[in-house]
Amino acid sequence: MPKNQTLSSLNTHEISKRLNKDGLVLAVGPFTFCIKSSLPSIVNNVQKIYADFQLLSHDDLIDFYVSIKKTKGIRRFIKPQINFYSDDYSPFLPLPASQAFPLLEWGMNWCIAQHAHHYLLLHSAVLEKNGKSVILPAQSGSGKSTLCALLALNGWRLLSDEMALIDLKSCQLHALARPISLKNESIKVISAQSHNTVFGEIVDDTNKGTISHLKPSTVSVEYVAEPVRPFAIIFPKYQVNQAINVQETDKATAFMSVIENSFNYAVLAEAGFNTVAALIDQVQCHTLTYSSTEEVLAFFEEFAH
Amino acid sequence: MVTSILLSALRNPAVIKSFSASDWNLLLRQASSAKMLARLAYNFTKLDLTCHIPEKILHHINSEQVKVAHLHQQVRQEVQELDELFRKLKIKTIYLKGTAYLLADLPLAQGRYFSDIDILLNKDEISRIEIALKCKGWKSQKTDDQDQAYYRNYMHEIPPMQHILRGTIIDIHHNILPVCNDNKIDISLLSAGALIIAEKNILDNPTNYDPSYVLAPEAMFLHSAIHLFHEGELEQGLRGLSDLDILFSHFESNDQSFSQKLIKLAQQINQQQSLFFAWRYLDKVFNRALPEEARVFVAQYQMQTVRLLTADFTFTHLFNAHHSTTVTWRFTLAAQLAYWRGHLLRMPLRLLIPHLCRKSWLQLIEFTKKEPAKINKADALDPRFHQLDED
Repeated sequence: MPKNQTLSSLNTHEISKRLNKDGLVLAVGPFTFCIKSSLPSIVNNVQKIYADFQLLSHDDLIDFYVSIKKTKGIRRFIKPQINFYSDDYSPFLPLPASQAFPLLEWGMNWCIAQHAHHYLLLHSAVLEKNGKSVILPAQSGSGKSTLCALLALNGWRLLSDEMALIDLKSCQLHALARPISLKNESIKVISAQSHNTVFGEIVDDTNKGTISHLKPSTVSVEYVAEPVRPFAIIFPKYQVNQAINVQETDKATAFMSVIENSFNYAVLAEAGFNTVAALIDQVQCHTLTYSSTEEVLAFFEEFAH
Repeated sequence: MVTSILLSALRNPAVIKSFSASDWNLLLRQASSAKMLARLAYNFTKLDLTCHIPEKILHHINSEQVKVAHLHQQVRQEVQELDELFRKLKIKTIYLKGTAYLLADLPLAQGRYFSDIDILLNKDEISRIEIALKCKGWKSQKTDDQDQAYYRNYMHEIPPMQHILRGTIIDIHHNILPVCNDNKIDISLLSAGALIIAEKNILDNPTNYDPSYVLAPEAMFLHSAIHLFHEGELEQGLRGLSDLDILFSHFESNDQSFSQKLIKLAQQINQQQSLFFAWRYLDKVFNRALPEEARVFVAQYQMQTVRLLTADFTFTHLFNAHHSTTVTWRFTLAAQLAYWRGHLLRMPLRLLIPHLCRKSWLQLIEFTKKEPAKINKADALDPRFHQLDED
């Protein structure tokens, strides 16, 4: 297999065949996933959203074997449901079949959050421009994914929409460049931003409302293997009709907020503490309140210079 | 029987020297689902094989070790609180299984995945312990009256209790086999030689010291064997046998008369069969060289041919990886046999049949109740996962 062959080099038939049979092997940042599913919506969404990702084979080392399968029993003829599997194990309860692709995305996040303890994992978006990276932790009501998508469409390289992977020794940020999950009004707001956006199918009535996934830019995926130094942590807060306001956050508060947003701080014990401390030591910390798209974009533009 | 790649790596860790990427993929999958990844890693380190492990696999191993270390730390913290409570109540409590291996600092504890705390105490102390634990924030996991009655009338333990904040589970035993069992064990014979551990603490703080007790080596080994060979669900069977393997080689190297003590205790509590099975399958599955006394005991043990053949079929198939890549019809049959064997050993038929009928009935009711599907059954390890996407 030639090096760096991407999923876009395969036609729908071939993708569908691989997903149905032995599994489609993709490099997703530092991880390798083997994805299996016979559901047409998985084939369509994976083909569209993961087009730029590197194809690998079963002769490569694989981190996670994931699959989406229809549940058995008579129910599948009336209201079909689907399950996510990490290898033989299904960590979630079944969902309606229409939510297959969001479930795959959640499941892949779950795999990383449960097994990648060689990183400090933060629930946050990470982007970079001109070598300057920003970590946007995901407190409730922060509008993190919308902000992340806005920046990604305005020249920022997407490292991750969901999870910051922070190397325990070097503190470098590693990228995943996975699709950005957008909800409800955000889908319209972001599609109105640019003609070049590619969305996965729109899924209604999930327990998080209407969801659609935005394809990451080709550049972000091309540079996925390049880690970046952490430069700033910005705690965003969306507030209707509020003029933009940026305040410096003191380091102790930032430290506690980072811990709150970490998936594995407790599990990592001492290494977790040391990494958060080293991270906080080397970054600027700000709290950002915003409502206007123009203002917030202008702020980040200035930040990157 | 197909030897899984997991079993080959346990028998002879050096096989990894010639592993291809797809061999590693298979080993990682089988070992993870058996919760034996950290155990394997322990073997690899002991034999200086770590340099043969690819970096990607090492990340998984390290992650698992980090998780195990975290669980061990949590258990140690719980034990500290529990010991103080037991001292105040003046109740002698013996830690069993994983907690005991950890507290006694046995090599077996290294990389051993467990989270429940198991304790053994006199039956007449149970109600005092239960009330005291409730006051400390532990509550019974079974709220159903029938379940409560089932445990309290027939079992060797009361329903597990869980801490309402920390989620830790404690199993409180007054025997090691169900008390409805015809072959009831005189528990005082097993707990007789219980040892005090954590002597270091005595030195640190001689006046205000809370002792932790664990079973004596032969009782510890025998308990582990009895548990494994009365179990109906052997998904973790290979790990159980590997536990016995490590325990036996450790105790045997420390005490030349260990096998004799084992035989004596097995005779006293009438559990020769569990010891026979333990030695038989350590030899058959892991090719372990047994000491003379053990070989003589195994050779002389009398068992009906049909029963022995059935046991061999069942256990040699089930002491293997339980993974979608290893399932055959023979394996499925063996799992069925073990299920029935386990149930029959634990409960006489006159109790078992009503029990299973009731369980099936409840499952049927559960099935017809059309609960709307909600996400996330598990993730007990990390409540933050629920926040994903929720900004």
